[in-house]
Amino acid sequence: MLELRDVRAKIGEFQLGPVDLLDDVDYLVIMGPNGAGKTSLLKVVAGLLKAEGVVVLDGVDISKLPPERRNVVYVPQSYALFDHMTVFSNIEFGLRMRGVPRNERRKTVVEVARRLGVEDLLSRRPSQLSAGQRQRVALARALAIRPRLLLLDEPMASLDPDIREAASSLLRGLPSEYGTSVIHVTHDREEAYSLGDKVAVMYEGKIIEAGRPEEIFRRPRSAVTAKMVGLQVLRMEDGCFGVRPEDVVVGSGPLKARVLGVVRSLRGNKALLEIFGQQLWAYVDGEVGRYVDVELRELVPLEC
Amino acid sequence: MSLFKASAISVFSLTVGFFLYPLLLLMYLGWGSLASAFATRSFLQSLGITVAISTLASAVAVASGIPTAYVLARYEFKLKPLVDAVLDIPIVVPHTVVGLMVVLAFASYGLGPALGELGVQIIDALPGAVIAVSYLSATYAIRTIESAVRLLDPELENAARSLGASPFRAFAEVVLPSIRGAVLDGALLSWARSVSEAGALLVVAYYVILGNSSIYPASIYIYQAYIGLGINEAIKYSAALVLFVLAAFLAFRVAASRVGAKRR
Repeated sequence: MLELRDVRAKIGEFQLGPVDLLDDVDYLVIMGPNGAGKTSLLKVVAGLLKAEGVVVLDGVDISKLPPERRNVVYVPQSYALFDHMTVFSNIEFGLRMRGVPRNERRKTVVEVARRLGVEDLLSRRPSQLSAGQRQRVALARALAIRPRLLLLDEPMASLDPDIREAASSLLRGLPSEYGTSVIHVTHDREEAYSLGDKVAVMYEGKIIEAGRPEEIFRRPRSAVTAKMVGLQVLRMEDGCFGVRPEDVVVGSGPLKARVLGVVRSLRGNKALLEIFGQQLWAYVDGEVGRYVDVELRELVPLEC
Repeated sequence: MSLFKASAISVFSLTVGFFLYPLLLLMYLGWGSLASAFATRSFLQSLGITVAISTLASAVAVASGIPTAYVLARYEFKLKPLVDAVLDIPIVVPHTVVGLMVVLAFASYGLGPALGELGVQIIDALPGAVIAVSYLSATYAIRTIESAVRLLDPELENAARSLGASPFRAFAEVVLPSIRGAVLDGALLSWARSVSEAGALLVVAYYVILGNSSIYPASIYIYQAYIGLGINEAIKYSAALVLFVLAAFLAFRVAASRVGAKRR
């Protein structure tokens, strides 16, 4: 279990925090737009960035420990594989730093490589690997030392769509298979929803909302979270509301909307409508005129 | 061929010609007397002392250049622009002035008396020559290595640290092997720069006293030949020096690429 208490850091002009967060699940996803401070927060937890406040891991205050003594492994978005080493040496690296004897190192490397399906790549260089293979090698290198906490920074960002599902399944299985908790940073809402036991939403250096994915995605509290999870935000006299494109029903209803344009999407045509001087997307069937009747189903009240 | 491409190739050819023409002419005029140059004992001694000075200076440049380049590439601090400018002094200031600065700082004033008491000779001595040439050549090593560190993903070190490496081990096991090509290039550049140095040596070590011998560094040996014996003697030794340096360059490159290939 990870607990962050009043964590703050100044990185150039950017202010991270204050962040208070209780990570009591196996797989926590931190979701936020680019520049929200997600990577910085991971680095603070890893000890790679100096910060004020308290970082407690499994009841032990690790705030003052250097990165190499935290037993927390950080896997950057680039995977940061060491190109001057073979895959074997990469996976072996952490064990070597810990002074594990050579025979034991070899056994562990082969075992982890086998479980992650990279045993055939052990003699290759990272530059000879595909993005998916690089991800697996980076995970193998991290898991070989059995970390208490694994920090993954946008681990799916460089993967092609066709291997993303397999990678998701691999990542989701890490806590149960290796006994390590995971904090996964992403700006992708589908990734967050499918992987997280808990989702924390980060914006401008702060955690603005955290909860189970179903809660965050069905009933977001803030307008920022609502936008992150795919809701459109309407500002009306009696407050802010979130509405999904599929809940904007076109063809009947008490509201009149002007059609600003129509585009194709995989789920059908989408029309950009103007209602109350604001713009909303809605799915439409066939041709639509310049003005349409609209009904807004299931409005989610938001803080804005 | 487009006008742009033709113009670019013309300028390129002119530039390459500008570099090659004097060199080829020197080698053409000196080719017949190369054997005589390499049979001259005093010239061989002068080549030997030049190689010794340059190799020591190159070692100093790399040993001090790696940490300096790392700090410049990785850390931000208030006086960084000033430090950057200071490191470029050897490129900006005339080399005879640098020679004078070395004499003042390490022989006449400042550290001079203390070094003298320790028996370290500066003027017309190997330590003085190495200090002067290091001062002038270290910048080349620092800038070459600094560029390589800048291009290196800092996340490599972060990953290494979180996997259990101390800062020193992360540097030694991850950074250093990743920039070894630049370190070798920096060493070679600073070595070559040292071989070609004359201005500072004119002031600090016109000749180097070793035992009972006074040996001129190669650049000064050639200058002496030119003013004392005439242009033909200067051509002979110049062509021999150029051939020697090009051969050393080539040998170093081949050795470096073989080491690189073995590691791959």
